[in-house]
Parts: sequence; structure tokens; C-alpha cells
Amino acid sequence: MKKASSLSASFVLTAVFLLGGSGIVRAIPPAESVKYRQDVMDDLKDAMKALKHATKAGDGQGAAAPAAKLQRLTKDLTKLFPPGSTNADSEAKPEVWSRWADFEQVANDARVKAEALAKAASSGDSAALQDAMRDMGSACKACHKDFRSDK
Amino acid sequence: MTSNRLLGKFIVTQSPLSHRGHPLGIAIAFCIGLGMAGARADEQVQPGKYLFQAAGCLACHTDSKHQGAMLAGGRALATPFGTFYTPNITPDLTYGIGQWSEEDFVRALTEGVSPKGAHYYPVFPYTSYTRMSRADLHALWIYLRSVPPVAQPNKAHDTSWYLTRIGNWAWQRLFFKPGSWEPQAGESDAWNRGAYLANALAHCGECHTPRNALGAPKVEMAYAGTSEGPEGARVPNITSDPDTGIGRWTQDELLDFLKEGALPDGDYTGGLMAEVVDNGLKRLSAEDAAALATYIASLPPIHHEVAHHHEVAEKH
Repeated sequence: MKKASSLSASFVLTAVFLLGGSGIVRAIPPAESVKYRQDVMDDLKDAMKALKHATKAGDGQGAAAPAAKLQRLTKDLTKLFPPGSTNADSEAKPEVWSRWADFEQVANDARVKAEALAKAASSGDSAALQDAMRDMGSACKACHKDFRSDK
Repeated sequence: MTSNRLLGKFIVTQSPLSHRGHPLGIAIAFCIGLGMAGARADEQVQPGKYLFQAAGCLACHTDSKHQGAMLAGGRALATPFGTFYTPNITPDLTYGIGQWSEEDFVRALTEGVSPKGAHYYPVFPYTSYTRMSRADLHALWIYLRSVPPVAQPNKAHDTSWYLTRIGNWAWQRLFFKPGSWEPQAGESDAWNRGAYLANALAHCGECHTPRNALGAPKVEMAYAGTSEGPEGARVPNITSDPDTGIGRWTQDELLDFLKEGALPDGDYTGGLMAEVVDNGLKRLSAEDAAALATYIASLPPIHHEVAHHHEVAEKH
């Protein structure tokens, strides 16, 4: 009995060592990653709402701050999705990880569109701002289409 | 089909001239012929193409997830009744609907019956298409004849054993009312156009109306949403209930949604609805989009909180 338990203990230790070595043990727990990601998405949503209001009101100055925020938050979207960062509360589809290259592409597109949007917001050209907003919205929708589930 | 016939006529009438002429002349005559036939054919298919987009045929009949050919079918649709694979509706003679007549097509869409007499599963929204006008069905048919044929065989459905074509016959007797949409007296033209778009073409209710255990829409819950939508999606309540529906949305917000998939809180739609917006709704004319928004905004309020999936799991 004793032998068996010490054997299993060393087994566990070896497993912990191996996992630790590959970085899995040190990874952020999924619940924390999911919560953090959802908070960032909420911020993006708020920024888009503010931008929409500013764009409709023709308020270029009001668009500058949320556009800058959007640009900052979309710089590294894929980093919000470390492998295994999913739980019952997460709306990220398994396709995020199984089609990682496609996911990287839409995430990158969001970054590019957010940069263009920030530029348009600071240019004072309201037509350009409207176009950039439409493009940004399409980028959000494109990613949600393939990679977000409707829970 | 039509363009070939036109082109054939053109070549026959021009051939004596071409024989006397330079090879380049023949080539030019041929190109002009092609161009004319192309423009003519394009003009003929445009109305049908618009209806085709509004009716959302593309999304289900194309397996875009696996880069499938346009309208060649094979897209998997997971439902509580099993997984359905949509059929090939290109004009391919062997695997598509190339041998169908226009009457066969009209019967399929308005009666839910195949040319061989098999009764369709209601996953195919003939229950909505039956409300289409004869003129729109004709235009849609002309457009479908113009798409490139694809030789891709259909895939068998993967459904529960108790679902059969004979069951579909019984289902139709119980739940299906064929017949085209009749405009409602006393409502505006915009409302009536919107009602036609929503109930006949865009078949919004097929997903937004919850279904009973036999898969029939619960009429008294029209547009009140369901947590058992296609592909397991949670489909929201779009009635005018202010708390559980979209009763607080402005007309402007509804239009933003139909045109761009933008939600009032800054979020953007995803999943199947994003496909519906991209393939159909955003291509609606300004008048049609406004008409659809008018109709949707008028849906009687139904207080129905659509459960989130983890809440459903906790209850069981």
C-alpha cells in the first residue's frame, strides 16, 4: 500500500515536473483568462458604441478618444486566447484554436481596421470616419461569425 | 440555358457574314454576340438574384466552411432532430436540379414536395417560401438556372431513426398551411412589404420562433426566440417586448442591425445571423430594409426570456 502510494506520488511529481517544464502549470487559469478577455471585449463594445454616437452626430473630436482606445485594445487580440482558455462561461468556439491561422487573420484584420479608424477619427474627415466605422464593424462581425458562439 | 439560346440565334443569323470575313471579324462578331447575350442574360437574372439574396438560399446551400462550390450543398445543419446536409441546387443534370421543370421548383417551394413526390423535412423553409408570389418564384427560378452547374452528389441526412419522409407527410398534414402571402388591409405599404420580406423571403420566423416537440413553430410564440436554434444557437426574442425583446430599439438601430449587424450596445452579431446579414439583409434596397424594420418593430410584444445555455444545463 505504502509502496503504491509513494509510487503514485513520484508519478505525480514527474508529471508536475514535465508539465511545469512545458509551461502548462504556470499558465493563467482558464477562468482568469476568460474573465480578462470578456472585460476587454466589453471595453471594445463600449468604445464602438461611443464611436457610433460620435460618428452619427458628426462629432469628429468625440470619436478620437474611443478610436484610440480601440486601436490600443486590438493590437494583440490573439494573446487574449491562450490555448485552453475556455470554460462554460466562454463564448469562444473551439474553432479559435482548431483554425488558429484563420483566427489570426481575422484578428489581424481587426487591428488593421482599428488603425485606419484611429487615423480617420483624427483626420476630421467625417465621410472617411463613416467608412472606417463600417469597415471596423465588418471586422468585428467577421470574427464573431466564425469564432463566437451564441450562448 | 437562356444565354446559350440567345447566343445560338446570334451566331446562326450572323454566320453568312462571318464566312466572308476575316477570322478577326468572326472573333469580333463572336465577342459582340457573347457580350450582348451576357448583358441580356444579366438583366434577366438580376431580379431573381436580389430575391435569392433576400431569401438566404446561399448560406444553407453552400458549404462555405469547407470552401464548397456555390449552391452545391453539403452544408451540415445541426438541429435538435439530427444533422441535415443541404442538397445541391445548381443546374447540374445528375446531382443538382438540372432536370427539374419550373413547375417542379414551384411545387418544392410552395408545397414542400420533391419532383419524385417525396415530402421535405421542414428544415427546408418551404413553410415560409410557400408565401412567395408566383412572379417572385419565377424570377428566382430564372436566376437559379443561370448559376454554374456543379457535379457534386448529395450527402444523406444524419437524423433520428423516427424521422422519415412519411413522417414529413404527416407533419405537413398537421402543421403546414400552403398559400401565398396576402397583404393586410389597413396596414401601410411599407408594413406589408416588410411582412412579405420577413415571412416569405427572409424566413426570419424559422429561427426566431420556438418550435414544439415535433418541430412545428409555436404560433402563439412568434418571433419570441429560442435557446434551441440551428447549430445550437441561442436565438433572441425580436418581438417588441421592452425587457426581453427589442422594444427599446429605435428604427435607426434596427436599420443599423439589418445593414451592418451592429447592435445598439456597440456589439456586433455573429454566427448564423452574421451570415444572414452578410449574404442577404445588407444587400436589401434602402426601401426594403426600412420596410422590414417597420414590420419587425410592429411585432406584438411577447415576454419571453431566452435562457442562456449554461442556465439550461443547470436546470436539468
